[in-house]
Amino acid sequence: MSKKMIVLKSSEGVSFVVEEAVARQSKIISFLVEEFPDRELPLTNMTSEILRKTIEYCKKHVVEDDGGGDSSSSSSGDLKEWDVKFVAEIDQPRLMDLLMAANYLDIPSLLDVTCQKVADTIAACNDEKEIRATFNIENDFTEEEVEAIRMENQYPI
Amino acid sequence: MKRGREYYPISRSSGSFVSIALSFVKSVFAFLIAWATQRLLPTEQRPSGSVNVPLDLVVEILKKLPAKSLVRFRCVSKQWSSIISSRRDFLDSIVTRSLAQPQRMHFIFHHRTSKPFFIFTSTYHKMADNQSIFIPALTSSCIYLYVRGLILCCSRRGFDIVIYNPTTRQALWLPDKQPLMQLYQYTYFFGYDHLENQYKVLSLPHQDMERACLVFTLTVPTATKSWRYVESIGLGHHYPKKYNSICINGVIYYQASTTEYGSTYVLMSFDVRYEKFNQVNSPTNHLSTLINYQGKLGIMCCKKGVEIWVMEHTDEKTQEWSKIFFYEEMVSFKDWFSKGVTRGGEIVFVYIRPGHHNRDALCVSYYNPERNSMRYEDIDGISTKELKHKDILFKGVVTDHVENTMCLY
Repeated sequence: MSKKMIVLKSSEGVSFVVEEAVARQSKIISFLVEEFPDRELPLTNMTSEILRKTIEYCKKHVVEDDGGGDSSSSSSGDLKEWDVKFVAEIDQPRLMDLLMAANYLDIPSLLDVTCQKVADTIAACNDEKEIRATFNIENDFTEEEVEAIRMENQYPI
Repeated sequence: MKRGREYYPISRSSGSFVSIALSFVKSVFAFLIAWATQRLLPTEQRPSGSVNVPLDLVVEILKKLPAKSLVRFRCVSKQWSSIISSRRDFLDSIVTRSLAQPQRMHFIFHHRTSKPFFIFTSTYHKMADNQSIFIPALTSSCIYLYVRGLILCCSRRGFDIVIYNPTTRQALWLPDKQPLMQLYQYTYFFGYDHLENQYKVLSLPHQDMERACLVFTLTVPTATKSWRYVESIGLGHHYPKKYNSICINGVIYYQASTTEYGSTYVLMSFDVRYEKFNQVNSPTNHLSTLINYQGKLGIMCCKKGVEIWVMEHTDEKTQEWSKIFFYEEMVSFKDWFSKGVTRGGEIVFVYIRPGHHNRDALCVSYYNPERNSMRYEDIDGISTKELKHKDILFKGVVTDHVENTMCLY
């Protein structure tokens, strides 16, 4: 039986042909292919690079899901390890893009993995200034307000 | 919006029911696309990495941070601060997350030094332990009540009351009551109502209940910072028992006697949300210990041996008490402090186990009613000599401590 394929098109107009089962891990794509079969889906807000990464993730996960059966428990452990490695290899800006892609395409497990990686990065920061710099967050507190918050969070011993 | 329609022009419609359904599906789809495109600018229009992360994603990311980081990084931005300290679904998720962790007992030890303080800890090691939280105490003798991540501390005579959040290390001094009210002595109860997301402190005078039942509400954001009167009980003289109350599913339970030094007690309930008192049928009128037995009210009575009862239904009509047996004879039971039940249903006792040559041990024991078995655990690092001289007072066990990043003001 031949596998059904669908076409996803990146913002640069590059077409990616993927198995439907792979793409269906995105709830949005899953919904779209049901309603509008035989169409290519343009994803104008995803670069080829991010789309390729997303497909790589989905491919890995669909294979493992199909593998099922007796080895499922060990493979889920392997899969976790794979996920950790997968996000560890991505640099900060692309991680944010991937996070947004996971959110946009509604792929819960990828969203979870990327959120966790971002959270780990935040936790590893030394202070709030480093966080603001890393994630390009505007500081809308005055120095006094920051000091006041710091004072709130300690008991006067 | 435009972009969504561009992909999938609506062209197949005709007048049938199917096509109406189809056009509905299409409008849903158009909405989805509009929703999705709104969230994300085309990548080429912005430098990579400077993503404007939508609020719900920021919330999801912050939910994965350890509580310590959350407290430290509140000052990153106003958005972060407001999520961490007051957003309801966020606070709930941090509390729920704690409950999924392996259970650890926490103890409250009060130190009667010249500057009194108390320690909230999961492993008692004197002074040098980063797991412990040192908090200045109000007076040399205090009463501590714990509810869902917060500790209420009141001075012995009940004039000063503070709420502590051991997660954020914040303290909130409750306002003074009106001058007249300060003439009375008060007993305090602490409860939480999940539906309204409100913590409430209930303050009952030691007698003459018609006068001054007061409630202080702590909510996010704290709106009013004052005590309010609530409708009193209508039982005339009513002497609530100190130290012994419990809040389960938005209801505070306590025992009260009808005479000042009475030996018979009634079981009372106070609905935290509706602020109504009720007398509850009780299997015993002796002074007992109230416990939360896996979400149900448990009452432990030590008059003849030890009996433990569990309330099966809270509804007045179907209310039933079932008895769980315990030791029929227990030696020196008065030295036992029972507080709490583990998630697995073991009842926790803390007591000083006598040993030879001053080598007594502060001991925690767990009784499993289903298996009728007992296991013991010594708390290391505490000198029971100090406990005996009352320099250090054991003030309670918290079986289900949850982290809560809620801001108290």
